[in-house]
Amino acid sequence: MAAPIYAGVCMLEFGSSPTGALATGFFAEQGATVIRIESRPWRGPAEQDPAGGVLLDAGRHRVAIDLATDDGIVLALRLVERADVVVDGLAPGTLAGFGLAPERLLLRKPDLILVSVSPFGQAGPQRDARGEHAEAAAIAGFSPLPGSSDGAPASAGDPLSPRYVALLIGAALLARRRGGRGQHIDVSQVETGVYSLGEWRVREPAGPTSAGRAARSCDEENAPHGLYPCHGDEAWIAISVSDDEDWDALLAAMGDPEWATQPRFADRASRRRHADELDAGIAAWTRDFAPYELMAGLQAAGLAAGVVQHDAALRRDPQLAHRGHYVRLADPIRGSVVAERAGFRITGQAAAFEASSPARAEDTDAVLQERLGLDPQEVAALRARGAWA
Amino acid sequence: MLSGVRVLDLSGEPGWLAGRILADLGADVVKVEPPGGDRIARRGPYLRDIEDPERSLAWLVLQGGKRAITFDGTVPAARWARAQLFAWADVLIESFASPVRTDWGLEADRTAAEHPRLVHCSITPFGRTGPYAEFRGGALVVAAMGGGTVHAGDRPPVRCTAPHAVLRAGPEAALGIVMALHAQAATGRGGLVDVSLQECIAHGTPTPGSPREIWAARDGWVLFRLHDDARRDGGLRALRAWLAESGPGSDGPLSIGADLEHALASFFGARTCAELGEGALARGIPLVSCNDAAALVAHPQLRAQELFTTLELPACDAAIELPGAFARSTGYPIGVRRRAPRIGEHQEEVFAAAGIGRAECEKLAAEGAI
Repeated sequence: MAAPIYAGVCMLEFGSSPTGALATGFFAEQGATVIRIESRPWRGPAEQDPAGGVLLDAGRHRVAIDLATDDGIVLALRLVERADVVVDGLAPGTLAGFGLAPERLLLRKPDLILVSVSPFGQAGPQRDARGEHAEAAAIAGFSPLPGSSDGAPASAGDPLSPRYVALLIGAALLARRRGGRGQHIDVSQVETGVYSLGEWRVREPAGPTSAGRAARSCDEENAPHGLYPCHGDEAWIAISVSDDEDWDALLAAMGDPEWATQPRFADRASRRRHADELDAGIAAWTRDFAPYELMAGLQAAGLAAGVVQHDAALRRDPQLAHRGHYVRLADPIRGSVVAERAGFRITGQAAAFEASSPARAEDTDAVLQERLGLDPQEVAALRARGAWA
Repeated sequence: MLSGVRVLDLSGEPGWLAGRILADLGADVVKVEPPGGDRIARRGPYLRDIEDPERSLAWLVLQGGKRAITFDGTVPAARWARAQLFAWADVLIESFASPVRTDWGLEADRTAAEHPRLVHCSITPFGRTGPYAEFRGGALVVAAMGGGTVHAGDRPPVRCTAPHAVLRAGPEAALGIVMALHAQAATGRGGLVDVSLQECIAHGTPTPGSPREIWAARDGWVLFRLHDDARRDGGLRALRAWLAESGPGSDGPLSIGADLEHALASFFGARTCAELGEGALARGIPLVSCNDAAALVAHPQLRAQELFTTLELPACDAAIELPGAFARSTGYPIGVRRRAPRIGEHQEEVFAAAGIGRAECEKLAAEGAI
């Protein structure tokens, strides 16, 4: 195995937003040191019960520094000087309010990569709007998309923005490595969502928006295409039939039932026009099968089919297991916790993260001593003066 | 940020966004299509509803900032030219199923041996190896398998019609690529970035359906997450205070449950999205309206931030306005720099840069490779 890509790279995370945590997590997995500054006691992702769930923030060092104190600001500035990347997940203007304005940090450390992420970006009339993934996705227009028979939307809550934040950090580190400069990057969570849906947000200037159509992927043109019930409690399978060759394969798998061989189902366009009837017929057939058995059979027949999986099913999924998606990490208090890897593997790179400190402030002493070279007496004196609580 | 990085984009739909993102960061991205154009470009909607691959909105948006050539690397006579192009590139993106991948000579050990500096990004439904490696999967199937279907209340699960897996794989593949380039800068060796769409969905997806999130307003839908996250207490408090303004007892009970849900539902149902959105903004409540496309392009914040960019399309005798960038930086430009290419528009200049001469090109054309 090669050395971790980001061994020796240090990231500071201000705030405990899930967006910042997911973004820096990509780098913790690849060996970066990630230090989270928690100014005030709050409930971050690490405190959420990881039982049955997955630890969102493996590999964090948790430092409490009260940014409302002079000592706290001095410590924060010294940590920034020794960091490569700062991720600011606080509300716009908060860092500046503490005297840590972006310009000041970049003046202090010209090659710093500072990324601010907030629902609407750092400027503009609505920059102070509150929210997280779900709110940003709704504003960007994701929420009305899921289709259902009763017409009500369901929250998509899609965390796209952490991926963009991470990508920008990675690109900025690469640019710096190639001799580039530091920078302040401003990410609006809403804008990453709108950008992602770009194909459906096009218009001619002063003309209508891309035909006013809802975002659809290529395979939304398929028929049948949907989630169908299987035998068992909450058992569902996704089936998507892209062309007439696929349809013939599905007919063969179903044993050529009479209803399905009617001319109105003979071609894709016609199947789409009769989708309700088609779906009812497919559902009546899938209902008798155990989901995994049905998936195996349909895939063997060359069809795109997959079981609806969540939580426990995902943790048992043999493909995710093969890729080592879930990583069990030793944890001194909880015994062990589960973290997860990104959606990609890079040749020769193993997961390099460790469990996080379960409690806020846990690593304050160690980080101040190791990164700032303070001795234990100095740390104790700072604490006594109220630099953190 | 990525100027000087050369990218060959051989991908189908799952990789188009990754290429656009790299181009928006300054990379030189060349879209490689089979002679005659990509199948996916023959997908509507089309600009002014005129069916033409170069008017496909998917093409116009997702190939923005790229150059384009046509080339079929599976033809035996094209092997030398293929090696020249792979040697020209720093990064290659593809989303082939395994038989086509072999025809292109893109087995991972082969690219590693023949082009050790190349960062080879492969995007497949389930990843390149493992028990499901040969499974078929479209956006819906990988969403289901990765935990991305939406469950709310006691309804059957619903799907999101946006191709979430692909939308996530765009930035995530681009991230894997810049990470591999970072490693390459240190070691001189590239390698495989093996992206699984299923895993992109599984990563960071919370357990679905716990708090109630979507509510009917008088003229549409709003989102307010009703759950007991301590960091959001302030929002719920402010919302209850707002309810109380409309009359004694109208704020509902203190604890989260059916009665409070009922009180909120009737409050939201009596007001428009605009009233609710403006009131929430003024009171610091994380409540937003679920926008459709028309509401978005007129959104005051997005207009003020100049998110939308206009590109002239002389060949179509038109211009389009599209979301131009995903972030802004004090150090480097980010955003689309040129309109999407026409099919094969940059054939000569790209082949010349890769050291493929005119005579060789004529030979390739005779073999049907370009």
